[in-house]
Amino acid sequence: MHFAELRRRLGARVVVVRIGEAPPISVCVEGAPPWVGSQANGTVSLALSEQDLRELLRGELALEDGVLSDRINLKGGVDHLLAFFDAVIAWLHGALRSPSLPLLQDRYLARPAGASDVTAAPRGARSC
Amino acid sequence: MHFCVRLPGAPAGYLLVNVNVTERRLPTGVERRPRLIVLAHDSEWTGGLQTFEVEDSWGPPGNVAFRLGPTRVQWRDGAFELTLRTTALCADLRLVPCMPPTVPTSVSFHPGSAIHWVVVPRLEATGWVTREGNRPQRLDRAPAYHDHNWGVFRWGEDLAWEWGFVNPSDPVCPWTVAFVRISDGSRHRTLSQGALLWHEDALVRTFQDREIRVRLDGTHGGSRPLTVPKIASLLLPGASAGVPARATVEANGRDDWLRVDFETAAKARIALPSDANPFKLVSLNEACGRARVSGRQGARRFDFEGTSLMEFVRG
Repeated sequence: MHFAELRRRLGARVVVVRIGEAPPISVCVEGAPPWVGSQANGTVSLALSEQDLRELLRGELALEDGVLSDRINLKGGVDHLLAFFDAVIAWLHGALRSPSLPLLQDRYLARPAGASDVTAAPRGARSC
Repeated sequence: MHFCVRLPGAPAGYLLVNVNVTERRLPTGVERRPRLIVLAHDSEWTGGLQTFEVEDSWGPPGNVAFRLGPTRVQWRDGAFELTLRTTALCADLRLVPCMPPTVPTSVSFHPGSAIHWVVVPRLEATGWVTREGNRPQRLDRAPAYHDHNWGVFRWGEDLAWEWGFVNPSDPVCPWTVAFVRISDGSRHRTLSQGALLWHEDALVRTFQDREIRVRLDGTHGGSRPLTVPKIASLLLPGASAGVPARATVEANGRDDWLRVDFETAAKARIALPSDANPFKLVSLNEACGRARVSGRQGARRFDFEGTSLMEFVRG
């Protein structure tokens, strides 16, 4: 239900995510998987440091505060940004109801900074 | 099930331990989700929320004992024994009730839904509490509160409540107060309210419904409150959290009267997924502070100050 809402909100938009100095990851949930790729350009781009990502996940940084303070760099047309934000909210509501979220969150936060393997898109990545 | 233990040092320091099990009937069968929520406040808040697999928990019906992972409660030799083991907080406490529990009270808010409540508003807690990275705090007969509620309802349905209690600052003060108001989600219609007054170990007065008026004033500001689970704060970015700066409970009836003036000092919140709306959260706002209690019960007058904890459920 929540993933369906995320797909409805995002449509064919491509979201490019950059965490620190790692290569970009692109997310497009239209059509069949894989939904994660390695495109460098998209409809919406999001960039933040790994430290700020960790603070987001620990609830120490609000999305709005991160954007307003330029700790989260968000680019795109207004309509696309609003659609992206609504999609993230839908996803978060699903994540909070997922039994696996606490374990995934703990695992990520337990990794030493810089050791994250979000740098590589999974095999079979495609462009939207 | 709640345990609230007064922590020494801070003007309004509390350890709050909540254990709950939610049950949902899905097409695939019954899903049970045991949860442990811990919050502690002295100079700042800390805490967390853990969900357990049914296989890693134990709690037979009709028994106060339970186990959730390494955390457990048992009843032994006239006291609750709480062993708390979480990343943020650990504790070993023996909590001795100062009075017997109330008989269960029930509130039905629509056919098929009801909530029930049993309360032991005053206990004495001895043992120790440790916050992550800090030295253990020793407690010796610290004031504490315990209640147990259960029922059939859905988080996020048309329901809100406020409850609270006051621990007198003077340990020999014989009075204890607890109160609750249950209303519809918009808080336009009160479904049930009660204010209970104990003297020593006896429940001496229960004010109910039309005898009671509850007033919430102002908004408690300050920085964004601790939210557990922490990632839920991304969905609750505000700082006000709907917690009032002050709450007043006034009760009158049969020449008896009671007044509780509560002032919020600090707050945290527990975010639970709504059962009624898959894209909403229910916020259980925990506020600790100071309270002044005054009144008359029969020929006895009372006027005392104490620490207090109130819960405001919204969403």
